[in-house]
Amino acid sequence: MAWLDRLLPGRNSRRPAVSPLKGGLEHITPSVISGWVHHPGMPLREVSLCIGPNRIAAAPIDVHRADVEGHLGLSGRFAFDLRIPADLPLLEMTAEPVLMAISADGLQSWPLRLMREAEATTLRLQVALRQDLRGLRGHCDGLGPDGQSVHGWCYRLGSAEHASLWLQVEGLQPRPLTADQLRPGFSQAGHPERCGFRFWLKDWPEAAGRRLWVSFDRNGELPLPQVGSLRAPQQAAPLPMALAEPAAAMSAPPFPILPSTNPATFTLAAPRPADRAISQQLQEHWQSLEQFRQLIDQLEQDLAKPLPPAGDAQPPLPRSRRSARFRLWR
Amino acid sequence: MPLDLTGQPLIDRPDFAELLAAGRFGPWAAEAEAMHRQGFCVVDGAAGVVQRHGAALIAELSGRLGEELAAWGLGEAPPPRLQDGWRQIAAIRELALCEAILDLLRHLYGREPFAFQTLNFAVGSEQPYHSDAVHFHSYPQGFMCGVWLALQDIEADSGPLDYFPGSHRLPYLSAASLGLDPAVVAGEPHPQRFFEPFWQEAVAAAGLERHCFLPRCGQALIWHANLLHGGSPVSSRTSRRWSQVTHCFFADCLYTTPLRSFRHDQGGTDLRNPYDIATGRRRYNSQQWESLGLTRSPAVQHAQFSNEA
Repeated sequence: MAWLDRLLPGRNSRRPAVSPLKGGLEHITPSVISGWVHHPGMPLREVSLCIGPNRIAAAPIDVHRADVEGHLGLSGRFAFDLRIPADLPLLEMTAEPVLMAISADGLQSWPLRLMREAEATTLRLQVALRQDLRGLRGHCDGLGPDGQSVHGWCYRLGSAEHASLWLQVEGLQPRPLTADQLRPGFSQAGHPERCGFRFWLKDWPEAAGRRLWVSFDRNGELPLPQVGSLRAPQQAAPLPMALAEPAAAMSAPPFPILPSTNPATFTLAAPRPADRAISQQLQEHWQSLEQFRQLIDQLEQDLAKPLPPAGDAQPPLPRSRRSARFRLWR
Repeated sequence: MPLDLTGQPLIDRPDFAELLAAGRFGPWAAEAEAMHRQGFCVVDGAAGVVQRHGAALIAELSGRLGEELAAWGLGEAPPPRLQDGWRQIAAIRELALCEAILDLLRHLYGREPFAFQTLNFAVGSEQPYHSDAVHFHSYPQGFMCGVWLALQDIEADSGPLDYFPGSHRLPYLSAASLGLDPAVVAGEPHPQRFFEPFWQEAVAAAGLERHCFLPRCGQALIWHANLLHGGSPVSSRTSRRWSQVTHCFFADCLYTTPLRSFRHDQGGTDLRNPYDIATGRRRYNSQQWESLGLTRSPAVQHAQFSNEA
């Protein structure tokens, strides 16, 4: 009956049907589900979030993404951002949620799964639809520049209360986080300013060397979007005093990660002019200190030398030392 | 009966102008434009039914409301009304299911309408102006409307219906959006009063003007879910304002009571299972209700049906 299997690709359970679709889901959060999808032979219109026979939310497939165009080698709009309404009044879901891509004529549909961790799709959709989580949006920006802290941001649409999150470390009990720290500049993009979080990994030595992530839920089933996987440093290095604790309750990374108009995508922003100026000043100060150290070393060496005969003229200082003095004492 | 919790009424869509230009509203283009811009439209579609049944219905209602009407005349009782008279009086049901009106609603909203409640008035209600969308509303929002039908020519001294064109664009309110405490709302027999200061402030801020509806017998005013409306003062206690209000929902939505809907940690949205006057039964049977995963039983909702709006 091989011919029947060829005609009905889903008939042979050992050989699952191959979907013609390319793409799938990239992120699932309690406020937005995003991804992209392309069918080689049929235009697609929208994605629909369904629970059993019920249509819960929908969004057009109309977001332009240059990276997707590059991946497919085609031009067009293949991406989508489906918003889960925070005020959705359904209380409990008995059926499994599924996200479907719908053809332009509305007659055909295909289920979409996470492009990574496809088997986690249903569970993540279920958690994202939990009433206590709905409306939460956020991002884990990753480890700080010194590798000693994990930071990001999160808030609930339309709520003034700070969002609660969970820091998950593989093999350990999760720890609660509150997104209540200042994220300068966030309000300019229409977000609350106090929505940042930062956790210092030195406070959790057992986490050293383990994989970690931040999740919306306690069980860690719905992670915040993040770039790549994170691992706590093997050994907590002692920090300079100035870096050991934040001067203020701020969680800003050195280069601000700004939410774009697309709530599920994030842009690593270029350093602002002010940041560049500060960075340049710090470099200059560092160079000056280094030159001063070299000057002291040289003086020590000079003092260790036997004194020249009386009447000899003192040699002029090297040019670099004069420069260092000038910078330090001006 | 699968739910479709997406989209919005055609008259509220941002691409309304394109829909209008494409002829999406069929013969009801003028009414659609009025609903979109002003939040109401006036139609004559039920005039034939009123002509057939109006006089007999008024006689029937006069008998049922006679004592209360007399007490009201003496200033000893509130204005009388008959709620859900469609159960007992066939003419009320027929008016509620007037096909011309339902056809208009089908075109304007893009979903199948169903009438779920009737109110019959003998005199002006003198009710403070309000939005029906705090008493009963839908998810997705906007799939509710009211049909106010004159059973006689209405005079200015009878306390006619008044309304604020354009007020349908004000934000939808709920107990949750106002941050009301569930215990406080539960202890108030008329929770609408919590919302009235917001409407008064919004009307003043937007400079909205009050209009009065003085229809001929058989004319109907259809109001948007959020149009502010009420009853103007009655200046003559001998004047009558025989009328019928039919409230309609649309298919495949969830139906809510926003003035009893709170944050999820305070009890969440108050869901209702309305009657469908056409079938005489509730919109969702218990099996469908359970399949929707709704944790509250229709019986609990039933208690919250009466004495609203």
